[in-house]
Amino acid sequence: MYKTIKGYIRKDGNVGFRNYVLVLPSVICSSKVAERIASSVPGCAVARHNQGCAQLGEDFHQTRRTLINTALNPNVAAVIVIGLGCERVSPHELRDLIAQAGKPVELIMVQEVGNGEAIRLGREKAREFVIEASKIERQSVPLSALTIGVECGGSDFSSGLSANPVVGHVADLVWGNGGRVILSETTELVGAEHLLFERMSDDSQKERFTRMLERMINESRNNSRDMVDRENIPNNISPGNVRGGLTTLEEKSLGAMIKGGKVPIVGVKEYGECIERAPGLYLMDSPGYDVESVTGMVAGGASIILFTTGQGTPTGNPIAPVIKITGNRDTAVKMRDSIDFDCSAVISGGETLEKSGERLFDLLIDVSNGAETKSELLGQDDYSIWNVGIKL
Amino acid sequence: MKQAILLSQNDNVATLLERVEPGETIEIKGTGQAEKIVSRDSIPSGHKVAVKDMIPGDAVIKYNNRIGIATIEIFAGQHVHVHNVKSARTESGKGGEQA
Repeated sequence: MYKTIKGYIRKDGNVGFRNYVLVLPSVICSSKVAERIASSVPGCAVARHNQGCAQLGEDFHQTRRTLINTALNPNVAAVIVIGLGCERVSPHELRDLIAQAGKPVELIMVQEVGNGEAIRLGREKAREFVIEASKIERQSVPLSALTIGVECGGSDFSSGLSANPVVGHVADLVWGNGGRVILSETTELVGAEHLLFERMSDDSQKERFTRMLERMINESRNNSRDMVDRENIPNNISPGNVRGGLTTLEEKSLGAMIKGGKVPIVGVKEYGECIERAPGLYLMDSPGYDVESVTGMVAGGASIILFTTGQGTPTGNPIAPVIKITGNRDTAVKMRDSIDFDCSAVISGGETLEKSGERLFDLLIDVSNGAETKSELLGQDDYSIWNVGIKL
Repeated sequence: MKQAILLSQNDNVATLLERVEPGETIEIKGTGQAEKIVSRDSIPSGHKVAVKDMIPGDAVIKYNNRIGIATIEIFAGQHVHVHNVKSARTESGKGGEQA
């Protein structure tokens, strides 16, 4: 078995497996400037998003928290914050909190220097940060440095039979080595709650999880302007799911939660909230909407994502490698430019779940050590913050 | 022979790995000894086939857990899907029970 992997040890003690200079817009209005800076300097990533202003209460806090924690993810070596100037999320506060965490950070304000000059200054600073980041060497770290997020999208019958249990086996192996696993998608835990409650050791976790479930169910029922949707939500079964053979939300949820293996639950987190150091499984509140869910887990600290898919999806993330896994042989062939791992042999009988899980664990180690994923090669830098309120 | 996977001994539905037509024999594999049942319906790949008879109100069991409730009588060999199963959690306008 493996004893060590190679990662970038950050000042806060967390270990990253990528080494990006992140260009972070504080608001949608400065997103294009941020994108133009990042796209012209190799080694940069951009967290382009649609939020940052005209938001209230928890919706505002959620955006702020997700932006800060994305910057603090250990896959990020340095950050350039691109502010506009009049937005509600304070770019100055983002800069200060990132600096406090010991990360090199620069702030550029579009309203102070103009659009073109902000891009020019940003590129100059980005080149400087990339050169400094490239001098950081990977070091040997124990496997307990792994923090993975587990996700499923475009599910079909094969997800619950192979890809999700294979990922569950890897979750067990990560935890067995002292690592941490994040499981999100609250809507896809409805119907499987009783099994998750059994894995929680303290009552405050149970209370938080109950609140999280009730909030998701009530909000999805009450917030819709569409009366037909109000009847059907939160029955989060897509037409594709039904065509593929999934009948009820419970069936989908039972198949989805297997991704967390048998790992004991040690924390229940808000969307984008940082997880703690204790090894185990962390449940994070998020929608089943893949890109938003992955964005939240990466903000929470996941440095690599294991993403299962039945029908195939190209989803990636700007700063975290997303390993794409399918148990559907047709999808593995048709979407071979997006799929990293084929576990269809588990269904056809050619491979046991355990054997396939060990093979996926090998791939996880390779990716930790720097092997590229298909989503990275495709430039899939999908990033979207879950919006939980109305825009003013 | 066409195959279906039974995920737990207590399950009353199995997942088909290929499409079947009425009258075709299906080998049910996955736990313990392989059993055989005869399909009563045309059922697409990836969909569920009943391996036991159910009456309305019976729990439909997969992953050793309830995935829904039978709404009409279902016989072994029949297609089990949205036409004869309802969720216990997402009933229209009610939202189901709280855990």
